[in-house]
Amino acid sequence: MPEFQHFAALPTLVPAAFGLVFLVFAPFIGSDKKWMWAFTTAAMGLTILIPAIILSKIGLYGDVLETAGVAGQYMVRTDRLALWLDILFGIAGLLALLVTPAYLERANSHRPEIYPLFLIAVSGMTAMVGSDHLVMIFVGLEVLSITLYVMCGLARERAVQVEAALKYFLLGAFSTSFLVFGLALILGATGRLDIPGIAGAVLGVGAGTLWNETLLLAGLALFLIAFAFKVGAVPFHFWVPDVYQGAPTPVTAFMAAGTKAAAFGVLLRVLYAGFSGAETIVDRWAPVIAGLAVATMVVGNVLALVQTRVKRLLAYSSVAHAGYLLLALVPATSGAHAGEIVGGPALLFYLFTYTFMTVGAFIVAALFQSDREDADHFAQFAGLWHRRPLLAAAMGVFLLSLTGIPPLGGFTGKYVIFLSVLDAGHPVLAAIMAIAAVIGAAYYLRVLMLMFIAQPEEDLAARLVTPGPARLALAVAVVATFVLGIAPFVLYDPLLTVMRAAAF
Amino acid sequence: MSQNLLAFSVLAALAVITPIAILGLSYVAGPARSRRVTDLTPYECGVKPYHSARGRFSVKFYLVAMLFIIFDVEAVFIYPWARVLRERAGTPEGWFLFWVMMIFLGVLTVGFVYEWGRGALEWDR
Repeated sequence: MPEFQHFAALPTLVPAAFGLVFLVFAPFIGSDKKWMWAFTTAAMGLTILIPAIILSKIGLYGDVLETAGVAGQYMVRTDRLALWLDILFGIAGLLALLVTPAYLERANSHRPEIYPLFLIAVSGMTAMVGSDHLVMIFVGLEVLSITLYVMCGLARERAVQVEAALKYFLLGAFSTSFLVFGLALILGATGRLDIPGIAGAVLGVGAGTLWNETLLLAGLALFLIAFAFKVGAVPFHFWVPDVYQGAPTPVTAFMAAGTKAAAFGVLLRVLYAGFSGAETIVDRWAPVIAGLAVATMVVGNVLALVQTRVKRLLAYSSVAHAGYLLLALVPATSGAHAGEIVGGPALLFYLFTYTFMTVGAFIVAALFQSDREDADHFAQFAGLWHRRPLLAAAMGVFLLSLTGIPPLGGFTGKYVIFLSVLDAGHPVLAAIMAIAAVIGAAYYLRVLMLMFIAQPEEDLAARLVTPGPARLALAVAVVATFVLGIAPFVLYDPLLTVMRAAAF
Repeated sequence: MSQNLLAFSVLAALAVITPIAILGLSYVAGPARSRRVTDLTPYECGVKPYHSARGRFSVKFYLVAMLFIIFDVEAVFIYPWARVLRERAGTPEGWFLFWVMMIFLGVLTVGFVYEWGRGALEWDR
């Protein structure tokens, strides 16, 4: 009987429990939603605190905490990778929560359910990354996805939100079916659904103990398709702009940062720990990841050039960033058998910087909200500097960071990915990444020019209100973007140990 | 491998041939089709349908059906659990099983309280 460390499941259980408790109260509260928001924000803070505490003590427990075993296979596995990502989900949720009341009030679509749903989505994300059993990963993904479908379409009376929710639901359900079919094939090929078991079967390729290599690769391909859908990689990106534009802006911010981080956490763990044991298998899927990454970077950046709305532009920018992150998977996983694991920390570091800058940018976009629809057209941003200098400066920091301008976090993040790709011996991929980033600079600079040089045309900017919590969120995001750019070692050095216990 | 392939080919061939054979035989050997008008109406006898079957009816039916299914699945789930629990009653494992089910029921209760509070159980609203 293996020893269970039940508190390993706390990062998942705490947000789930708070989410359920708050959900009970949701129908019974009237117009006064302030306390619901306050409680949820506090619970989200706790959700950040718990993995942080476990992380600081994890060395005492031998790097890995495992619990909830079934037939000798652990379902919950909490290691440094999972804990860092748990903290990231909490941060994304907290930043999005801080601006949510302001947005919903202006959009006139207040529903108290959105607050518990944030917590339940976070619990789904933590379940995804904190497990080495594919079924548990699937359950976590479903909890996350179904919650997000609801959050996207919470304002039923607004057609654009219903459209976003329906599109997201249909394509999400479609990708889920790919995932389940992939899991079935992997189970057929290896006889196991836990990652250590799969890794063992993959190691047996050379020894001839793997039952069927073709079946395994087909299963892995379906698995990759499902997660390419979830991260919005080209050619599975078609839902991203419509859903990101239609969803309530705070939800978009949360979705862009949190879902991406969760999906990349799973990809990193499954590919690195499960499928990188045998060269022959790695040589099959590593080029696929590289190809997806190249297509995603180029197409995302090129399509963003022609956008005229900020949310849509940020959606395509998020597609492009999924490409950079996919590229980080190449050195993170394909070099695993050679002991080169520097891509893993680079990926996580970029996820953190990406969270701060993209959530920050979406928070600014969330403040541009009129009664009926999102007022995120470029014309609304014209001359923001003359109306709201601080807001324009914050947006400027986020956009410059997304571009990858040196003193900011986005540059450091791209730089470490670039270096790790070079180290892994892929100079062509690194060059394509640099070119894609240069293309990307064009559209970020367009918005910057509008904000700082153009004269204001519409008077919406004059009516903007930035409530205290939103200011706090923006301040945190700006400071974090600067800190990660100027002193990246505060985060990067701890992250270097992240892959230590991720292998078996 | 070749044996598997043979089995697969036989299966694939049968899958193609069988439907074609069934449809073809019924076309060739079946009785000639009647062209009388009454044969084409939905019912040859009885009351004539007086409007389309694709009428609109309240979405509440769907809601009730969905809620029913949720609690129906719960009830079905409890039976095997109760059977297993009785075999292990009193042991630590039994208590574990008990509390796991209590947690499950708690989560379901949350959903129940929520839908009650939202008024999903009231027909006229």
